[in-house]
Amino acid sequence: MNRYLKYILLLLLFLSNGFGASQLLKGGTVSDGLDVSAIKLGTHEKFTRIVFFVNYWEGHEQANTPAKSTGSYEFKLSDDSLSIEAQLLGFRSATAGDIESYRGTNIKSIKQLKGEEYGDDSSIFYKIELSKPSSIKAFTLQDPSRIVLDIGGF
Amino acid sequence: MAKNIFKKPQRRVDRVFLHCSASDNPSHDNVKTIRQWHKERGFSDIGYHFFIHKSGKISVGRSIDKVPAAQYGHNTGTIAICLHGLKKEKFTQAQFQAVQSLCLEINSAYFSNISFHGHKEVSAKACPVFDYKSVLKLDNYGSLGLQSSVIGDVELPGEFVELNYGDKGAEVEKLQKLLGIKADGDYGKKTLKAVKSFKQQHGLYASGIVTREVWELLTKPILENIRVNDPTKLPDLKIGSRGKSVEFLQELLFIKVDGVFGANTGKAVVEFKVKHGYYPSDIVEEHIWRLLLKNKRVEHYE
Repeated sequence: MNRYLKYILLLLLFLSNGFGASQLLKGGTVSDGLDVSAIKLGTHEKFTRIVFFVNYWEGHEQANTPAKSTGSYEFKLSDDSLSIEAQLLGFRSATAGDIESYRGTNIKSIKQLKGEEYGDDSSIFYKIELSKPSSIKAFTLQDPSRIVLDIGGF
Repeated sequence: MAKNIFKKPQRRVDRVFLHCSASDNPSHDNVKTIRQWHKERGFSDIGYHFFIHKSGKISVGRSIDKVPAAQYGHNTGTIAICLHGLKKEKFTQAQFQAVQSLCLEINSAYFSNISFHGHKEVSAKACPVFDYKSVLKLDNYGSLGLQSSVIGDVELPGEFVELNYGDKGAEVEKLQKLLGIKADGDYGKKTLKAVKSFKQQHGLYASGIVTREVWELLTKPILENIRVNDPTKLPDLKIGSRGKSVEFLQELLFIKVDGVFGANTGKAVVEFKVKHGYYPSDIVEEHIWRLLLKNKRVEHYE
């Protein structure tokens, strides 16, 4: 009974926060030659915000400057709502440094996934581990181009 | 250009994907740089099998026998080709000619039973940026619309010319090109042997006379006269046979495709027959074709 109660409460929390219950979020614009230049976290009352900053990558003639396009994204929340697989599409590199602190957020870690199993020339993959079951929503922002992932439910 | 750069892999392949390097920087126009980028992504090697420079030169990337690391979720059963470039207008005609030539080779090796795609068809991104469908004249299914440069060089004579042993000249040269033998314009013993073999494989009396029927068979598209799923239309083969039907047999046996039924093909046929409970001879008849085609369908579509 307690198990179901937890999910009911979680659902109510999502609805009250305005978060959808989607398992897979897709969006952004089709592009290529991008770089994940920085990842920043923001803490808000009801959610944590992850912002992926988008620059042109080293092969572009305007390398290391903010891109006009955000690229595309796919965020997949696991069945237990405790992790997110992120794929940023149109990205040839990720020069962003490591996150220094996750304090005050519901994120345990953000790790870039590498290897043949992530064999793609223009996608960057991340695994985001969460400390509590959460819900997600995503969107893009311009000037400078960013991909935003909000993680709520805490 | 790209002649004979492609060697058919042992693994199953049914799609080719085209990519761009996302750079117009001349210092990135080499395999070494791309390999370094991809190793930084944790790949064991460069992700592509072929890399086409701005000059049109084709460099070999990772082993063709290895699955590429190029299009996530769609790597198995594919070949990956990358053209150096990012901006659409900066790809060169030399690159387009090179990719056309390479894709023709691949298409020919698979008897047109392979399709060509851009990376963006399976992922929300712009790669390969250039208009690959137009360059390769692809239809909606990704079938190559280009004409083979080998066959394209040969025009069937408007007036039918019957040829026989001892003839010389341009018509003999055309015949030799179509038979895939050395084109010296001299109908000698080697040409006679090839003509006889070709006629035998197509159910004709194995003489050296090149009739209208032979010309028509030689110029028919491969898909029509060889790559059929009806075993009754395929010829009996044995050691010594040559030609497109042997190539088809070799493809079905997953062995090196050279169109010559030699010792290696014989060994593979014997192994195949033993495995399926048949007498271990090198002869491939209708019931063996039937079995080979049945196996092909299982591996392809199930």
